[in-house]
Amino acid sequence: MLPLHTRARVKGVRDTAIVKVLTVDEAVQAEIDPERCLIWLDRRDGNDLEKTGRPWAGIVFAGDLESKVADGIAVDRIETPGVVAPGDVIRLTELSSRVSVLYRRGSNSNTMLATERCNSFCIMCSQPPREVDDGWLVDEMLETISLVDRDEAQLGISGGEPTLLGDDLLVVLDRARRLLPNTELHILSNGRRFADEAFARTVCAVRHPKLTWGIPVYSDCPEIHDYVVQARSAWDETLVGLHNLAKFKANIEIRVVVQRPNVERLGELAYFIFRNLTFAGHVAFMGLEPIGFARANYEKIWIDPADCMDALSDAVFFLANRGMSVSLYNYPLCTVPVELRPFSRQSISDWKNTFLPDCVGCTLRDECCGFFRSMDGKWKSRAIKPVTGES
Amino acid sequence: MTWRGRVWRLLGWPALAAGGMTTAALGATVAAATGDGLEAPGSPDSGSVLLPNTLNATAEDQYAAHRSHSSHRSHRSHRSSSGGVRQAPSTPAPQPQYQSPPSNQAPSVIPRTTPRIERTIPKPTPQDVSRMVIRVQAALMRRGFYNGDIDGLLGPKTRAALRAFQQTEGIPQTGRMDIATLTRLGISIP
Repeated sequence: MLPLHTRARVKGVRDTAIVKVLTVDEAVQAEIDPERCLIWLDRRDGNDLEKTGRPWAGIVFAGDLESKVADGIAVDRIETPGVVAPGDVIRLTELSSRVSVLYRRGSNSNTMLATERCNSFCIMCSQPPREVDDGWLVDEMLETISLVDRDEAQLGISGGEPTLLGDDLLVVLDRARRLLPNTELHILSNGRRFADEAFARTVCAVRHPKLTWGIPVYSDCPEIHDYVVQARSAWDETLVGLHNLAKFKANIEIRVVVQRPNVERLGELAYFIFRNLTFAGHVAFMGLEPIGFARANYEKIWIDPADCMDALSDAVFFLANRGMSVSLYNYPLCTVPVELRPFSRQSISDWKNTFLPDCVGCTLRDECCGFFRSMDGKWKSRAIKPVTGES
Repeated sequence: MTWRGRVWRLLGWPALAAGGMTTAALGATVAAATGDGLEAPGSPDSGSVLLPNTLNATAEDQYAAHRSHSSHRSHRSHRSSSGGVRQAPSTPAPQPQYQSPPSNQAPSVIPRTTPRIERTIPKPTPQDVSRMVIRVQAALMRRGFYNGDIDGLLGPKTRAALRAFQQTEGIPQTGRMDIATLTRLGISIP
């Protein structure tokens, strides 16, 4: 669990700088504009950068550069060790000590924020939308894509609702296709805008070779789905959207956040998915993330995972027995019955993942997704206990 | 004043061109302007800079002549983000060790980029052009003129689609992203 932001002493930045941190050895070989490379120093007087003869953007040093004169950007006295490391893409802002990591080499969960705007208002939203003019995020994504390691296995795009970018989303997808053709791109969307067939057609015409859309369907029952997402007709739009995407051969993952309003009809939802969304490449049933709107709507959404397992078991096996690929996300293994555990994934992003004192002595810890850092006593399942040999 | 005159005055309202209209609204404006054969009073011929429309009315025809990337100014000089320090003017500007701004004092010691007051619009970078091509391809696809890949490349298929669209619109079939075409596609020039 390493945060994505830290503070440091930052000098020499004008406006905003999105740069890649690299050791000088790697930077010399990298096919990146030197002016977008920030050289990582191991020792204060470690490297003689003049010799390389390249106009590097500047230097980073975890400790104190003291009087070392920096030509260009200088970042030192990094508050949280480890937050910034070679390979990372960071954002620096003029007159700010904040260092934000936009891409972390080796992380399992690099995600780019597309926008904070959203056309839904889900009751358990972990990242509540804001109606702000954040078009600059498109440029930030484009810059980030150009600095991500070319051999990165996966990259996510989230929001807000990424499809609200309209044609700018095509530009982002095209850039990813050109620069990161081997990187799996996973986009979280509510799919509603794909009800516009022409929009779905344009997005799929980018032909990104490794793109998956993660789209939620919360219930087979429109009223329940619309209640969860707090938007009338959302279910209709998402369902039409899913079929439009399927028509244009998009890869689709159905995401079901399991919560009080929909747990009762989970079996019916599985049946619905099998009958009507058979084209989905993957179905994920997900535990709640206790942050954002979820905290505010605790009473409406909370149900102990231990009380969901019968319904989950029905739904998961219904789909898996019929050849669909199914996963469980965000459920610690001690809350999951033994027969369902093969479906569990280590789904919680590394930067918000943690374990509890209860986990001491658990034999499954290495395979477990653990907990969201934002979890507190209210959100703790009664089933949590260390799993030992016999359970 | 006739209703056409009134509509025309509304469309020519400079605040609309300058302000932050959404693409959809702009598209609607374009549709209104072109949909029922509304002719602009004293409309200049093609190739002119000013179009009888709020959309792109002040833009230059910078995307029309696009042929290759070679003539473009490097991306670097166009970027606002990093590396500016390295390109400081040869007369060394004072580089103070800035700590924190005094609360009620103008931060005159901070070296700022000089505000760019340019009469000419900078040439688009390859990235800008590719972005514009993507918008054009998407707009042509939505209108049923294009069914190739959306790839940001102005290839034969895209040019053919542009010509087909231009023919339908009754404007010169240049196969290029000129202002008349962009405007009719509802695309504003950044």
